[in-house]
Amino acid sequence: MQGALRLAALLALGLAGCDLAYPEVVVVHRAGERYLLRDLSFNGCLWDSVLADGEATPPGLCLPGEDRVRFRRLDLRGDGEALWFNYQSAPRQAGYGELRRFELTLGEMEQDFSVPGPYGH
Amino acid sequence: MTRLLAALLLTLAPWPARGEEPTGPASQPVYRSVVTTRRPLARDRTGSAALVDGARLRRSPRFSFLEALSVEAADLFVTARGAGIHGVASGASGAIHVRGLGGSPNTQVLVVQDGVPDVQGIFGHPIPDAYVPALVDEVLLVKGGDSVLYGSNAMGGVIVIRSRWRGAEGLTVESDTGYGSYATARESAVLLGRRGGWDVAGAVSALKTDGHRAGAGGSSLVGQLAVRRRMTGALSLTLRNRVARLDGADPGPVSHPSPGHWYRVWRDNLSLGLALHGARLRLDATPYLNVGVHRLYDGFYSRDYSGGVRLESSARPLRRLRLLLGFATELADGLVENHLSGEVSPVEPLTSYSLYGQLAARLLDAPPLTLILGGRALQTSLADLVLLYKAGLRWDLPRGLRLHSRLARNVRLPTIRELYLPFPTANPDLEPELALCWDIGASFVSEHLEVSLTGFRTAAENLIKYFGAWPSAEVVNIDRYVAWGFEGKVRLARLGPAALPASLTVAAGWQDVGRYSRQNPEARLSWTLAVGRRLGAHFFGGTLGGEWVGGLYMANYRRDPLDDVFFMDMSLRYRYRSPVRELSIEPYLLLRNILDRPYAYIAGYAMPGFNALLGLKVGI
Repeated sequence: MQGALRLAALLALGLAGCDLAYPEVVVVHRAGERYLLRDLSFNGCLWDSVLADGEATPPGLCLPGEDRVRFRRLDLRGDGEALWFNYQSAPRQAGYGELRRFELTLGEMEQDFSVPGPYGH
Repeated sequence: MTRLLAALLLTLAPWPARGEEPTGPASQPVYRSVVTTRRPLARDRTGSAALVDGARLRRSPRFSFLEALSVEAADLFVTARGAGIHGVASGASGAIHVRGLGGSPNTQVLVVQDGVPDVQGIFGHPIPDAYVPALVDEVLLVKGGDSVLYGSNAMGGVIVIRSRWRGAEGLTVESDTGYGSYATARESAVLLGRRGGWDVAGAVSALKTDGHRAGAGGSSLVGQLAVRRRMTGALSLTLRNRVARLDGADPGPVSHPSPGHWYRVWRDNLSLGLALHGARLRLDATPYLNVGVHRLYDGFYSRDYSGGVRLESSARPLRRLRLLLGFATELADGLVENHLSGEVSPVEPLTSYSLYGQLAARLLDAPPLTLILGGRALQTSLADLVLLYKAGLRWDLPRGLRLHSRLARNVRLPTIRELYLPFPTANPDLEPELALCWDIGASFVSEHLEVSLTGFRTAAENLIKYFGAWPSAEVVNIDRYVAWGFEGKVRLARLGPAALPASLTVAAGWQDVGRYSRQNPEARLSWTLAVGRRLGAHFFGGTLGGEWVGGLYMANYRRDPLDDVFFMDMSLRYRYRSPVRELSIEPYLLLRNILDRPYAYIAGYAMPGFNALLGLKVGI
């Protein structure tokens, strides 16, 4: 009986939208006032907002699994032209049904050179 | 294989007519039978091919027409990236690979729908989302190509699609409605009618989905209408039109999403078919026009045209011979500009003319041994005369055993994009690609068991390949390329108890594609277990199937390997067919990726996890 109920629940979830069970992800900027972050992404989610220190992205329903938070970072104290560089966090995990808050600190940030080329034609 | 379409009219006609007295031997009754058959899709049966019924594709739990077709042959590999939308341009899936050839874009595998090659004029490929199974009668997958019969692009394979007609007087209306995960809604409505000498076949298929992640959604709307006038028993005129509208985006890799990379495509395929099909002579004339408009987020705008005429005759001058002769001419042209920069990319039209022929000779009657010889002379606006040829043998031995072998020299002409457009570079001096495709195989068919095994070798030259990246990219003809492998299929029918008959179909293949490993997988396995029981007007059934793909790489030279693909799908159906009226009601449930396994055909383009679609088919 329990198995049947589980199956029914799984079917109902499947039809209602499997994406409703996707992990809910929030990314919080904890790297300090010196930096601005924008174009944050995690496992299929993309936030097009610009974050100042302490600000967070809106919750996003991302694919379950492991990925890094990727973003562009601007150093407000940098000399000369304002340049946004690609950065990424350490790998993070998010599973079905979870709410994850990923806090980005300066210590874990590393430059991201993994920008893929176009696929297809 | 000839199959009965609609009617077997067996008329007992006493001779002479009533009122006349029979005399002598003529007093014996003479039986006249009229058999209406569908013309076989395969015109050369010496090569290896897969014939797939359209109803089987409509019932498939797979997301798209091409993905459903790939289940039927292990040497047909189709990429996917989401819940039913393949897309166009960067990030598009639906790449068709057959025996080491094909890929993205699909210029080495030709799709022919109702006798018309479906080619986008500028990029030279078909549009994967424009094919919907609603109106498909049968599909023939010709492996190893056949440029003698189908011309350019029929290099690695040909997908020949025949649309449905109603076989008997009356009207059929079908509706297939489904809703499921990711707010995916789909609807197909089909109308088939026959009255007197008129036939009509129309269908509208719509799909809309939010996709399993941002940017993976989209919509497709495909409408088809065909009207046929059968003027006499042998002469018919068919007007056919297909319109497709596609909206979507390239979601980008999950690590670097790009949901704003949208595309919009509109296409229209129009054809006219004049057919004279007598007992000894068949004549077909098919003019066609394929027009499309493509728009991309980056300002790309194109209008393309491809069209042509095919004239073909097939005759049986002697009892043991069938001779096919044809003439084809094709034109491709278009306009390409960037609406952001205003830059117009100049292109030149491509034209081709060809004469072709095929001779089928029955060398032995018992057991039947058939020899096929064919040739095509292709003159293009690009290169010197290209000569193509093929030769094949097929031996139908007793007790269901069959041997076959075929050698075919095939061609693909460079596309306008490769010749003139900077995406990322062009080369107006490109030569046509050529491939020599050979296969040899055996098959056995019995009541409970069907087995086939084929070995193949593809040797290509002048392949057009892109190297490097902009601004130092180049596109050139490369020297030689060889791929070889095996593919086979086993089907066990009528398994299990009589109360619950089942069938198991397994297709498996392995190939060595050398250094050009980009999305040419080394091994592939697909399987389907089908169970069904009919109880009077009721039918209960279901399928459990899956796919495994190994040795998959994103780049040539076996670089950037991908994890093996493995997933399983399931379908459950109940059908009620009224015994007194033409009414059927069929609710069904499709459960995809039931093990919720993460997998991807394209690096970074994760496929959906477990998802479901509930549907209802109604036919009257």
